[in-house]
Amino acid sequence: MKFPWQKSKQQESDLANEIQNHLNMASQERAERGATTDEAAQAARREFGNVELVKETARDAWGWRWVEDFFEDIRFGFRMLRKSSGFTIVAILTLALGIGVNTSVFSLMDFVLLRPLPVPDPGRVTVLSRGGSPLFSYPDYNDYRDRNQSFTALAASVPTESSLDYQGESRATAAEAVSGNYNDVMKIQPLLGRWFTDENENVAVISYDAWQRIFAADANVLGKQVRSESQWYSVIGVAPPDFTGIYSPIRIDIWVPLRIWTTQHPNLAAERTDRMRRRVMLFGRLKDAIEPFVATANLQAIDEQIHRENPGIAPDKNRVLVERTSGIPSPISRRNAVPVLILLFGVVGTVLLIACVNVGNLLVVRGVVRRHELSVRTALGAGRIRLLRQLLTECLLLCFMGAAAGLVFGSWTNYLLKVLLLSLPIDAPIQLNLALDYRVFLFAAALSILAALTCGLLPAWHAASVDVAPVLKGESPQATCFRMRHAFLAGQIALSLVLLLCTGLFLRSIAKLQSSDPGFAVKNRLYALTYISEPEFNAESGLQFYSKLLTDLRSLPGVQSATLTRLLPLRGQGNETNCVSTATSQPFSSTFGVLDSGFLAEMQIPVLQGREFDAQDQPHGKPVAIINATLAQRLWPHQNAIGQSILLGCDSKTSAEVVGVAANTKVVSLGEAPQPYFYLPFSQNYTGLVTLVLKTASESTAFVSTVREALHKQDNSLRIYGLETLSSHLERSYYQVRWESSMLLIFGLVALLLATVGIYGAIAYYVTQRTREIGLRMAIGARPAEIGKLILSQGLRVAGLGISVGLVVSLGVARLLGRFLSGLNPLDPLSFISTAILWSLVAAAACYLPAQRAMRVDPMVALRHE
Amino acid sequence: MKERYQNRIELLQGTLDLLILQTLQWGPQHGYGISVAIRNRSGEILQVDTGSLYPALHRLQRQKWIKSEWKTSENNQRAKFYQLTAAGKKQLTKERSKWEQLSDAMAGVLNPFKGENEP
Repeated sequence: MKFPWQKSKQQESDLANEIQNHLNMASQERAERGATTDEAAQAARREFGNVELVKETARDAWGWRWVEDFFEDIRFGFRMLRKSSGFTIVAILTLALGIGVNTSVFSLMDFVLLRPLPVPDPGRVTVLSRGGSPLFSYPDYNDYRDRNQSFTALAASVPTESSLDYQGESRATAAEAVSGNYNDVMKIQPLLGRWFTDENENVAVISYDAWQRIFAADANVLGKQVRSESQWYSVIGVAPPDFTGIYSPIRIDIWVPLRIWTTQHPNLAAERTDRMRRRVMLFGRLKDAIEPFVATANLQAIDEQIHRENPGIAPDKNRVLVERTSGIPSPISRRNAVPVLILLFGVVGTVLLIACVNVGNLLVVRGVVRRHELSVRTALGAGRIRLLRQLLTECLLLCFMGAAAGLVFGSWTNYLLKVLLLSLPIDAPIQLNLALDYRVFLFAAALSILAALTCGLLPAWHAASVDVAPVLKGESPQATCFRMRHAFLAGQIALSLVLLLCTGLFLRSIAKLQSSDPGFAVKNRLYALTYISEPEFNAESGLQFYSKLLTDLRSLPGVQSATLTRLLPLRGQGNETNCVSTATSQPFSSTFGVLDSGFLAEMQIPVLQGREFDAQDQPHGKPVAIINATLAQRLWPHQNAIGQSILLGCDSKTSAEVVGVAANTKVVSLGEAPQPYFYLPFSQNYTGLVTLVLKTASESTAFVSTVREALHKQDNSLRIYGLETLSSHLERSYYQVRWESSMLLIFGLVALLLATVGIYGAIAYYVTQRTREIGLRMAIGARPAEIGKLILSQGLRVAGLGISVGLVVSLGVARLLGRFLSGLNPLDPLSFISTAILWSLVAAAACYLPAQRAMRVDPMVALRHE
Repeated sequence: MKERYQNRIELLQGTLDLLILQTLQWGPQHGYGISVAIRNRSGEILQVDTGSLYPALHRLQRQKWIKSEWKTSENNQRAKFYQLTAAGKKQLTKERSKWEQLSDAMAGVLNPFKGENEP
């Protein structure tokens, strides 16, 4: 097999013969005119010019020259890289580090923003949203579905935290309650069985993963009975392995018919006719040749019809939008993830830049070492562009090898990202698939070309423009080379200082969160999430059950008190909210909690006015509420809140009497400013899902097994989802800052390491280059201490410049970080000062070693050096 | 380095091809012969640079306007003789007429009043 650009031997020898003939004939003619043979040959040669160059230009005409050169350059590049294997290994490792972390963050972005749904023809599957929110009301859904001309099918879905029980064992999981036409949109082919189309059938499709875990991949799974929440379903299908629903990164384990699911929740059934309650996500499969913007216009027109037909309902000022699905389907989750991705890309981009500068620096040194080789090649007729191309090809080779190693390295950081991300405070399985797909490979390739240009262009340009004569005469390199290296060094120090400083800010904000007071007691407390449901328990028997359960728990040895709340605070976005207002004010949204009597006392939340919930708050008695100080201040700034009534709900309002005012506590996150919050009594707001909170006499971890046993001894329909210390719940509440700062800490240290190696190498090289000069200085009487000072000051000047530039840049960058730092002042002086000091020490250490070596230079050896 | 060779070419871009094709019209010739012929016929004015001649020959051959053959020359040396192909002959006519147009146009620009405004 022969490629057209492979040089043919025949063609080569032809060319050589042809030229030799030319020379022969020219000299023969001269000889015939009377010149001596030697003279004639010489004159012919002179007239002809540079034989090799003529050959080169003739070969150009063969047409495959550039491909051939490229392969030639690659072969030569490999040879040169093998020759200096130390340089090559260091450069490849450095680039692997830089490119690896970037591909890793890119995989995350791929997952969040780019990857299509694993369904046939995913480009036609769209998601509807309004002002970023993907939720719509049932009546709106019905109208869209029946009136649109854009979709072959428009399906509704309610993703929800749920449970999945099989053979007496219950798991907290995520479910999707979907309309009967769901699979007309998704068009997935179930691995086993079929997908349901009738919303009134008690059937369910389970995920591949649930099939593997819960049913041990039993081939006879179809027809088995499972329970989700209070409803029993018979399994009719298993989804294919890659389809995990539309709630990614949360993995859906069971799909159930929407109508059946709604019947379990009386309040949801009511919502089916309420245009104000937005509950369902809508997914549509576009008809052929219909673009999303056409569908958008179509639905907006339907919106106007709906508005005309229902004049009583104020139209939403946000208009409906149809978008193709990619990455995470929910537009709001995608939008929330973008700042974090930008932060991560900023960080890993900086790491790559530092790596490139480091390799660039190495290349400058190599350019100096190779001056001789390059001048010889110039003298032999190589053009500057040709040399540049050769040097850049070498650099590209390095970067591609770096990228290949980087993909390996990146799979480790992927693992790290996964482990850190999977500690999300959600009681549902999370699936984060950071697979290497073709987009990641393309990205890595693009990145390596970019890196090659970044680190290679300047040094190559510099090396390729060597001045032949002085080099061949053995003179030293010019000073511009040092200047460039110093600029590189200072830049590197500045960049790594910025990263280190950001890391410092994140660590400080964590320290601040850890030491912050949530407003309730945390020490020696356990919590368990438990669930009972119909038909075993209704509201009345459920209340009795929990009341008895708490009594049982209180009698356990070492348990001082036990109480319950529906959901713990500090669940991030997972807290319940409702609208509040007074008879005279506009409703606004507030977070609320549902408490049993005695909760405030057990959690040591002070009651500032009035009373806590107690036995007088009967299930069918007068509705009551406790509000926190902030809400009291907001609703009744100049009056006593006790005895007033607040209205709950956005449109259909119910009223409750305020019986107490409690001190402020942290509600959504530890870093937040005080926000409005209110409590409702459990007795009047029963749900089967509650969080039991126990106060123990000593370190609560010791009581976990006792409590678990006690819970298991209860009614066997009690489902237990989590049993942990309250402090671990608190820690999980700031998982995002912790996650971000662990990433930053890792990347920051990598950057520090790279920059330290960079400055050490540069100064050491500087000393080697000046050995002769140092020897001379010593020979004429300079003391070693003076030499040491000279070298040290040289290094520290550069470091000082880098540190100051870095601090100035950090002032700008830190401001951008404000939103991630949960209340810490981004210009935190402690972080700035300590980072500057740390870097000064590191720089001093990196310069000290080469300075030491310079001081030990023996003038006799140095002067004999060359 | 390359520039020095290029500077020596005093031929207009594209004219070398025309000269080569024209020279070959009188019969097959080798590279050296072509360069000598151009030099002699131009009265020693046009010096064809070898660095341009050989690439041009190879290019013309790639375009199938000329073909080459190893033959023995008059002084008993084996040499690579170039020869016009049918396509080359057509190309030559085309290039010639193009050249004539160009030189007429040049003449018109350089002597704008000739033949027009003669008293």
